[in-house]
Amino acid sequence: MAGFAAIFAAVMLGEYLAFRRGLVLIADLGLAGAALTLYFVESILVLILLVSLVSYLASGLWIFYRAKDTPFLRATPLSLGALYTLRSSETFAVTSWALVVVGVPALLALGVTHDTPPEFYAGAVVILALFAALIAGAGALLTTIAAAVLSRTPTRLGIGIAVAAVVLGFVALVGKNVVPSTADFYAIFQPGMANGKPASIKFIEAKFTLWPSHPFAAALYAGATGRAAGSTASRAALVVVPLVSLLLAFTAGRRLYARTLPVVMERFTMAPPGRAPLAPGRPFPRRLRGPIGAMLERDVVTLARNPHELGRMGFIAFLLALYTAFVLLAPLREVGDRPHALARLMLFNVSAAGYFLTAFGLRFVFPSTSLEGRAAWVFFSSPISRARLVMAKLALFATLVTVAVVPIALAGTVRLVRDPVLIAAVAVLLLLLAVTTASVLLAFGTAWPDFREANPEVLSTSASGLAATVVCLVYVALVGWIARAVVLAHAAGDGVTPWLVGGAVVSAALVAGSLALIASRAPLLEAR
Amino acid sequence: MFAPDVDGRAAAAGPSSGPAGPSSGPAGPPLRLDRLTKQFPGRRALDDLSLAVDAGEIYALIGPNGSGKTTTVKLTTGLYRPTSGRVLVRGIDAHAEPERAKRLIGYVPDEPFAYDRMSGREFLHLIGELWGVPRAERTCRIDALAGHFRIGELLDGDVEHYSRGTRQKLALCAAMLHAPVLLVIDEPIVGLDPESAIRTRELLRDFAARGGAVLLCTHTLAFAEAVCHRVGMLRSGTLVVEGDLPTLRGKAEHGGASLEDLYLEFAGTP
Repeated sequence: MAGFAAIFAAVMLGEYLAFRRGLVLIADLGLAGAALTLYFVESILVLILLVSLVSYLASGLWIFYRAKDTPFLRATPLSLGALYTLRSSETFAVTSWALVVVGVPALLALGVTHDTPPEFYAGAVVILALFAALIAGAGALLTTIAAAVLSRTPTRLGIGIAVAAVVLGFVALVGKNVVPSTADFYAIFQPGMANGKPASIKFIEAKFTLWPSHPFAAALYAGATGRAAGSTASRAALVVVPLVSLLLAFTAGRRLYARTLPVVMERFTMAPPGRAPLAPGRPFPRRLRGPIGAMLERDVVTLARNPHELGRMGFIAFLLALYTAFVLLAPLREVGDRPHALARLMLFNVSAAGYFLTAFGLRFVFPSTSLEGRAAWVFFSSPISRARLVMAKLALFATLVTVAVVPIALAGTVRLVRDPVLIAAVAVLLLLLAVTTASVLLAFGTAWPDFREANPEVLSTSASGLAATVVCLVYVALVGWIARAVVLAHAAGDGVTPWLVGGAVVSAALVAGSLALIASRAPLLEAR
Repeated sequence: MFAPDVDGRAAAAGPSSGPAGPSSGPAGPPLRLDRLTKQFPGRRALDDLSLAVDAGEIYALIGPNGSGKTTTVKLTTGLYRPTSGRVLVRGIDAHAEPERAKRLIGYVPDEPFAYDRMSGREFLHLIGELWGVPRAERTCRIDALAGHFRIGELLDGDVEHYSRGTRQKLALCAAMLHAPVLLVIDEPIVGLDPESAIRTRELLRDFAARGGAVLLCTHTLAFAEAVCHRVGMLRSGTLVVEGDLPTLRGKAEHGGASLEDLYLEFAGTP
């Protein structure tokens, strides 16, 4: 626990430093500084709102309806209303991290940059609390609505289409309304620059005015800069919107929960005889062959049939989609002829890819051995080589995370640079990242499995999950730094090969270490 | 009904066993435990245990909770590694050549969990694939085994929703699917309805009659008394006595003793 707190603190410190540096640069722009500061605050709050709501929905559908202790609690005199309150609180507690991890550093950076008095921070805490209330209410309401809809259309195809539509809808919304385009910058800068007046914030207020986060952003901006922002209606909305959100959650949401919980429980927990069979009469495996192929197909099939896991995967895909929207829509190409700016963007691009690879891996690769769970006896008593199975799993997971993340990160690279040498160099670094992070996470998860724990979230926050995260994040930072060095070396006319060889050597050492760790701690069921 | 692979062809033909020759082929009794010891941190679970189970024999290990029964089973099936001693399955050292030895074993654990979000049929096919049973052959055997335990109608349902008894039947089907030489069963009839318990008894008797060997551990003494040829009694990780019922009665100097009486005599609280 203390280890994860230290990691969070380090991440928040890094964010604070990055935000602070960005806000100082914005403030130095003079005429456009105020407008861009509002853009920053609006964007951050929209990002927190979306991440929190999607995270709430992904976790809430499980916590509200499928938590292991629900049948037990339903058998106690606890009322459904109390259970709803309990589930809402639990879900908010585990999904409100974006408020803390992104919101707090951003507000600190905003306050310090504008040299605000202590009252600003006290006010910001109240505004963040109201914003949290808005998220808590909206999240609970969305979760119960989604469960009611999904309980009527329970096919996997229907759920898949619904999730894909939500993700694409969010991406379109964010891409259109939040990520700044070249045209937005012209709209912000041109009038002010032409007349020598500060850029107006009206355009930005208009752009964000329909977002529920706008009243909070306007209030924070006004508090930090001392400038006017937001209308009387938006100031009233600061209190009214959270109250309405909570009110709806505790009336309509609670009624929906009371109506859908028994239906969902009967369908998933009690399994009435009429339930549709799984692939009736068909043999297994259907796609792959041999013992190793059968075990890998089982991994894929059981994952595809697990709505909770798919929800988590969808959430990470959503973050990836947000990032992609930013990379594809933002006018980044224009920095391509400034090597130091390009090097920083490449550091960000490669580090972001490494973050997503680590996030995917921590959730799906690291727990894969432990998730054999109470059925681990099948694997351990079967006549298949553990070494062969682990190697096959490594190949499968490295391929999956590569396919999921590398093309998007590479698309971002192509948006930034046209030089084929740089594109090829970054492609090599991204492939090294994918294989190495998958190896490290699989090794730690296999060397220290916990067959008694069935929750991947708990597994990935274990001591070995923490250790694997630290190793991966340090490695990701190193490869990001190498990407930066590659850009600068190429701009200076030096070769990029030594940097790539260095990256390959470090990666090979980590992969070899991971394989040695697996071999030295060949997992047996005993004492796990 | 469901005959064991008494020639040990599975072990000799296994993909990891290499070319099979007369000297490398399986030989010896289906199971021999040779001075087996298992030490966990701060606790010796099994101490110098030696026993053998011959072809055609059903051997029951009985004893109080914590006496080492499940540890013995897990050592035999390769789930645990012995601190010292050897597990020999048809002469194959189960820890030196685990993949060859495991091909000969069918195992039913005390908690017969299968993979959730798979159907029982998919699970049995997966087991067949792991043990190298050809698809056509295992399809027939799955139907026959499911028919024997009357779970055919449930076989396409999600294992997650099976009752304890149905899981037990599924695990028994899985253990029998590859025609093992040795069946290792930890609590064979827990959760089974009376008819299924009788069918399990018939299955084990038939399996042994055709040359298979069975090592089971159980607290259901009536079941052990009804099906087993020999009984071993464990207490605190030590085999205190073994033999067929007449032998045990002789050692207890109690001619008409039931297995329950003998258990209290040898394995009960001193």
